Amino acid sequence: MNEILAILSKDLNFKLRRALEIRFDNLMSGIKYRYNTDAPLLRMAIRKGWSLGKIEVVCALNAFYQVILGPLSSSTFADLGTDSPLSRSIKHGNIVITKDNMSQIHDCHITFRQITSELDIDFWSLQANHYDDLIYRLAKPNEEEHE
Amino acid sequence: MNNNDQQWLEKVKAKIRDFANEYKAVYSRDDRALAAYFEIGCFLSLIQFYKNLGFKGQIQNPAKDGSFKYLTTPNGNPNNFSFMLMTSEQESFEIRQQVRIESHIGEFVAFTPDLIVIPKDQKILDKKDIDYASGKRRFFYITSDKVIAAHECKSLIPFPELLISFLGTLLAGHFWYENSKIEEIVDPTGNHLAPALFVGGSARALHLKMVRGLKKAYPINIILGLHAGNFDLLGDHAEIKRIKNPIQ
Repeated sequence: MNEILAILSKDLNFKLRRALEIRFDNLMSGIKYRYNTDAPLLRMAIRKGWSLGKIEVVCALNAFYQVILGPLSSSTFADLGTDSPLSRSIKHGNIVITKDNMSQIHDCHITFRQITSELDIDFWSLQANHYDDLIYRLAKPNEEEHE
Repeated sequence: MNNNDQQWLEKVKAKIRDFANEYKAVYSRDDRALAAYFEIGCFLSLIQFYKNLGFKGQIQNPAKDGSFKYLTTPNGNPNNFSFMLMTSEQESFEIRQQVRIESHIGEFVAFTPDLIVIPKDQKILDKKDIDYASGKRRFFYITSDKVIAAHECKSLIPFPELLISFLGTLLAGHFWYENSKIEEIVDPTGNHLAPALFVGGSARALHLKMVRGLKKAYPINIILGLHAGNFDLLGDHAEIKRIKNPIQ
């Protein structure tokens, strides 16, 4: 397993670790295919400093964001005030969600975004759902091609 | 990998290790919990949509300890779980989770969207069927003529078949769709969010065009990029479709 993914997935269950690996492998096999076929956009990304080793890190972080952190933090974006279900705890089966949980998840999300920003990784490359989108974001980080 | 890249990689590892040490207890959930958090995010976003339009929200039927008891499967009796009552001077309605819809399109056609919006005090029906839990449990449902809007939440990357399948929810879950003048229902000042597919992932450029095509052809919303925090349904870039209450 990729070293970054191994650190991030240490305490996850098998099913989620497998989901991370599958997503990472899919992205990387596409990137390698583009590398072997000398794809112009990938060449452009490499010229901008994104070596294959660095792209592998982005793929690992993309997998973590798409499979774990994105879904988890989805619950933390609403701002509802006192008459919302979140003003109390929410019991979803045996899962209990409180304002404190939400606040911790929100902090986790903010910290992750700060880290990727400090590493000069464009947030939208973590949103890319296909290896070509990811290459595009690395090659042309300022263009608004994708939602 | 050259020296600079190697240094960068070491920096990444150190930062990610610190991050994992600090937050692993926060993010190490199981897959069921991740799906639950996403669905709750969509539910809260829908409540916020109505609040931003001036509706007041009230929790109905809370648990004894005051918590919001979220119905997670259509097997449960909706009357035993919490839901939101939204009210304004103009109308009142309920937002409920996991309530089965019995469709008008044919006998025995029933399905359960993640969220539904129905008029206030709408009775949830029930019956026993020998082919459902051997007739031992009640089959809870509401008929599709009582549905203002049904919404689906998918914590997935969007793909064409997912987008197309939402048309089934529109056709089977909304009696009004085939029995009203749609141009009179779709209204940019309407009080309701048109039936919406909430999707976690962001779309590829080609799929975005498909989303635009579907939204142009049908009174639906396909709301993408929720993992990235795209939850402001009334924001400047939201491009959502609103409807008048179609069953008033």
